[in-house]
Amino acid sequence: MKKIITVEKLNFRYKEKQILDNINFEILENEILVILGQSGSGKTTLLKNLLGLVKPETGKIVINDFVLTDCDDREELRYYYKNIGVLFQNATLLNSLTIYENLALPLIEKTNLAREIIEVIIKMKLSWVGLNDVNELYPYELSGGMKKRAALARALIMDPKILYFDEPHSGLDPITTYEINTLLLELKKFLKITFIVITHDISSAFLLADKLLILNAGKVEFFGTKSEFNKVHQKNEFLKKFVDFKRIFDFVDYEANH
Amino acid sequence: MKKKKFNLEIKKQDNNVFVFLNDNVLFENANEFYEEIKKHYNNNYNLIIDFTKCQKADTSLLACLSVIQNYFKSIIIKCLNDEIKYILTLWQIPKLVIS
Repeated sequence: MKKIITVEKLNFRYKEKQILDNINFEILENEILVILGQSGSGKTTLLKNLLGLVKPETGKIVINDFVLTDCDDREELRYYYKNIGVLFQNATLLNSLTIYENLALPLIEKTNLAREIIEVIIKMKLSWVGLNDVNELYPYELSGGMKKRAALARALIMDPKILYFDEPHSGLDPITTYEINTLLLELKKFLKITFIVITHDISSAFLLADKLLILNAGKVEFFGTKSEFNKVHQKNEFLKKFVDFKRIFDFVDYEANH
Repeated sequence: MKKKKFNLEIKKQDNNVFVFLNDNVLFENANEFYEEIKKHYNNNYNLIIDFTKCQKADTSLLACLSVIQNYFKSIIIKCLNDEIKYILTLWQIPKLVIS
């Protein structure tokens, strides 16, 4: 499979603080990369760099042969944005617009497609995420899980090759989290797109990831597959602590005995 | 044969409308493709689209075909490219046949 994202020696500094420190990784087409790390570890800054929203101090980001970090051309950036989908944690759907209008917006802004064609595209994308008969509803009329699905449909509207998903599981109950994870895995297989997912949910991370990137204070603590993680995590104190499910059971035992 | 703006050629023969595409159908130009085909709507005709010169497509093509199928007896697609063939499987278009 072809390399789709390459990050080389990426450094990002905000004022005096080093936020990202020598980040290196590669992702292949149709992989899911899950980025994990504590709050403040640099996950969101890395995402902003990958989206071209900020410029790194040094280093290189190459996306499908396009050197994002060298790009100052608005047209080239626009082309890049046309090929990606982004789902931010909260700012997903516009509450004053219906679901149909929310999904139609990028198509009206970026294409000259006829209304009847737009209608089919919206119907198609909503059906891909398992939503029907929601066209006339407003986002505030949907449950948390349905909102995530609708936002996902909107992110898929222009057939992105890469989809960035910031905290897909935040505010969701375990059953809805499971449903969203299943949906992401289905879409990955069905649409052959590459996902970059930032999450705090360890079990979701291990379910979804082809590759894991674990950040610790701006540095890569681990990058690799799940089986590679299994081989090394017991030898690394940070990784051990990070995914130590045993701690939960220790706490349950503590509660039971006190 | 008529040369069209979208860079396609359209020919009518017997009960068939033959369309030879020289451009890929993508979000940025799908509407031109759609408008050109619309001019030839006829429920008694088969629409035969030759995609053999195309390298890629996106879901805008699927949406166009989904609407267009209502105005033709059938749609037959000639296509060699695996990516386009795959795109065509992502949405059900009952009158569509891929050859």
